Amino acid sequence: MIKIDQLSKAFGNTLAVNNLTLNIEKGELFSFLGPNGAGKTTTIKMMVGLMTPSSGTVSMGNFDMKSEAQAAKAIIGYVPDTAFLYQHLTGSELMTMVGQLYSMDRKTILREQDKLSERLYMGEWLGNRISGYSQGMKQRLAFASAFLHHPEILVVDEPMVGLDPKTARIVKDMLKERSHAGVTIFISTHNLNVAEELSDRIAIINKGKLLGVGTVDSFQSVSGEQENLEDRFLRIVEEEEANGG
Amino acid sequence: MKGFLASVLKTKRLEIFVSSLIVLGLIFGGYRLFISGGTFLLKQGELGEVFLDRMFYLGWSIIFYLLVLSNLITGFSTFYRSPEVAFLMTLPVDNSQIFRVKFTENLIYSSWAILILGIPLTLAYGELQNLSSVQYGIVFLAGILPFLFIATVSAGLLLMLLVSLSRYFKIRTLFVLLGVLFAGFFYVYFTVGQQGTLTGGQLGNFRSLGRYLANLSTNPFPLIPSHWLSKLFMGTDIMGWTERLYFAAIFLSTGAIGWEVINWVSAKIYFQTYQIMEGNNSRSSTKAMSRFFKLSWPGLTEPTKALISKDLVQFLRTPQQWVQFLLMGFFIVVYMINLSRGSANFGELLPFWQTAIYVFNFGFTGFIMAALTARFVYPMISMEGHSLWMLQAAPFSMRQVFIEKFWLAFFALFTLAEVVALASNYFLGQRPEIAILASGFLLMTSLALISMSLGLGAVYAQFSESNPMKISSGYGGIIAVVLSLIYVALSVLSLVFVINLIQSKGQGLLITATVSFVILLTGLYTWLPLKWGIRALKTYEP
Repeated sequence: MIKIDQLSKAFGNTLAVNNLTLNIEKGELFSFLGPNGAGKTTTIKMMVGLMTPSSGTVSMGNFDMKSEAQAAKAIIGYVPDTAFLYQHLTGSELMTMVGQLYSMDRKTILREQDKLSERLYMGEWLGNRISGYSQGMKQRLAFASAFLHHPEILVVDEPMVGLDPKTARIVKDMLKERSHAGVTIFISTHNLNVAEELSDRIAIINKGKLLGVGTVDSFQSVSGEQENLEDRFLRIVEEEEANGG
Repeated sequence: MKGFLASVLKTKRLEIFVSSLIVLGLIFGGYRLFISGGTFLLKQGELGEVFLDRMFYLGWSIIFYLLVLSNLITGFSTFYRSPEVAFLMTLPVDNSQIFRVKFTENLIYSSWAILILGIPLTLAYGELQNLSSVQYGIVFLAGILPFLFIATVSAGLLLMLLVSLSRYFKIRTLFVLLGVLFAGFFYVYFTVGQQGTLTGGQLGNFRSLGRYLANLSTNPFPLIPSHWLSKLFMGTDIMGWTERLYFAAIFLSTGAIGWEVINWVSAKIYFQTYQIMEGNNSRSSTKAMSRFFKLSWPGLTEPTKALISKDLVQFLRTPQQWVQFLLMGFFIVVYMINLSRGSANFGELLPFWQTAIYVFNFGFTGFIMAALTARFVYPMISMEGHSLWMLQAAPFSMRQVFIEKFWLAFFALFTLAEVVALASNYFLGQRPEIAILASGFLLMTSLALISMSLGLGAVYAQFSESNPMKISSGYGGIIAVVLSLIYVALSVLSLVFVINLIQSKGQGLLITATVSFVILLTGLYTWLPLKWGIRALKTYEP
C-alpha cells in the first residue's frame, strides 16, 4: 500500500533522509520512531506530497507521488505534528472546506462531521473561530478533518501531541478501528508507549538512515527478556551514533 | 566571471541588483515625469501654478491620512498579535521598552515604501520651487521625517484608545466606527473643505477668477502636518528663512511632544491593553458568514467553491482588510462625486483641458488600481500562512489555487474599475469610441496589475507574516508597486497618444502600432508573473 524506494532528501549539504526503503501493507499500523531531527517529518512530508524527494520514489496505494500526485492525495488523510489551521474560520467551516477540497457532497460532509464531532467531543466549540482554540482542540480538529473523507491511507505525525488523556484514548481507539477496517496507518512518534501499544510493525530511523524494521516482539526478543522497546530503541540509536553514523 | 555570476545567482544578489535598478529607475523616471508635468503646468500661467501647488498639498494630505491608517492597521498586529511580543513579555524587560521597540518596527514598516515613492515627487517639486541644498536638507530632516513620525505617534495613541474601548465594544464595531470617522473626514476634507467649482460666468470674469485662485491657496486645515510640509517646500521668493524655520520648529516640537506623550501613555496602559487583546482571542464567531460555504456557486467544482468561500470568509473576518478596502472604495466615491460636480462645466472647457481631465481621470484610476492590487492582491498567497499545507496535501494542483485567486481578484477589481470608467464617461460625456477604448484599457490594466501583484506575491511569499500591510510593504511588494506604476504610466501615455490621434483623425497605422504595443506589454505583464507565481507556489516546501 505504501512503497518507499531509495528515498533521499537533501537540504544543501545536509542529508535529512538517506536512501530509505520501506514497504507497508494494506491495513497495517506502522510506527516510525526516531530522535529529534532524525528525518521522520521530512519523510512524511515527501509521502503526502508537501516535499519533493531529491531522489527515490514514493508510491501511495499504487499511485506514484510524483506522476500521479492528485490521485494519491485523494486517498490520503494527513495530520501534521503542529496543526496550523485557518485561524479565521470556525471548526465547522474548516471541516466543510476540507470535505469540499476532497470533492465530497454537502450531505455526506454534514453526516461525517456530526459523527466525528460526537466521537471527538467537539460539538460545543465547533462553531467558534479556530483562533480561540487550544493546541489540543486544534489537534482534534485536524484528526477529524483527516478522517472526514474516509482515506485509505492515514499519515499521522506525532499523534498524541497536545491531546488530553481522554482524547488520546479516543484517538488510539479510532486508529485501531480504522486499521482493522483495512486503512493503512503510518505514524511517526517519540512516544514509545504509543508505538508499542498500537503498532503491527516499527521502523527506527536516525540521521536520515533506517536502523531497523520489525514487529515490536522482534525488537524486544533480539537482546534478551529484560529489554523493552525503550531500552532497545535507545541502544540502537546510541550504537549507531558510536559507530559514527 | 563565470564563478562570480554563479555565486551571485546563488545568493540572490542578482535579484537584489535588478530590483534595485527597477527602484532607481522609478525614482529617476518619476522625477523626470514630475519635472515635465510641473514645468508644463507652470507654463500655463497662474492657474497652472496654483493647480500644481494644490495637487502637491493634496498629495501629502492623502499620504498623511493613509499613513495614519496603515500605521493603525500594522500596529494592531505589531503591538498585540505578534508572537514575539508574547515572548518578550515573559522576559525581565520593561514593557515601555518593548513598546518602543515595536513602535520603531511599526514606523519602519509603514513608512519606508512611502519614503521611497515620495523621493521623485520631493526632488521634482523642490527643483521646481528652486530650493537650495540646505533647504532640501531642512525639508527632509525637519519635514518629511517628523511627518512620518507624527503619523506613527497618532496611530499608536489611537490604537491604544481603540483597544481600551474593546472591553466594551467588539473590535469589529470599533473598526467600523473608525472607518466611518475616517470616511467622514475624507468627505469633509475633499468636498466641503475644498473650493467650489468654477462656473462658466467665473471663467469669463477676471475678478471672480482672481478671487477663486486666491482662495485656492488658502488651506482650510492649517493644523495638519501636510500643511506645514507644503509650507517648507515653498520657494525662497515666497517663503523667508524666519517662516521656514518656524514651520521646521513646529514639526520638530510636535514630534518631540508626541514622543513624550506616547511614552507616557504606553507606560500607563500598554500592558493593560495587551491583556485586553489576549482576552479578545476567545470570543465566539458569527454564523452569518458560514453561508458562503453553503452557496451553490453554479458551474464551479467543489474544491474551487471551497477556495472561494474560504478566501471571502477570511477577508471579511479580518477588519484590517475590509475596513481599508471600504475606505479606498469610499475615497473613489468621493472622487466620483467631485467629478460629477465638476462635470457641469466640463463642456465649457477648451478641448485640451477636456482631454487633460479625462486622461488625468484614467491616470488616477490606474494609480488606484495599482494601489489596490499592491495592498490586497499581493498578500493573497502569503495570507495562506502556515495553513497552506492543507491545500498542498489536498487532491488538486497548486496551479488551481493560484488561478482561483487570480479570477477572484480580477472579478472584484475589474468590476470596480469598469464602474469608475462608465461613470467617468457619463459625467465627462466622452465619445463612444473613446469610451470603448478606455474600457479596453482598464481590462488590460486589470489583467496586468493583478498578474504582477499575485505572481510576485507568490515569488516573495512571506508565510510567517500574518499582517497583510507588512507583507505589502515588504521587498517584493515594493517591486510589484514600482512595476505596476511603470505599466500604468506607459499605458496612460499610450492612451493619451491614441486619443490625440483619434481626435486629430491621425494615422490608423500609428494607432494600431500603439494599441499593439499596449497589448504586447499587457501580455508580458500578465504571462510572466503568472508563470513565475505558479512555479513558486508549486515548488514551495513548508
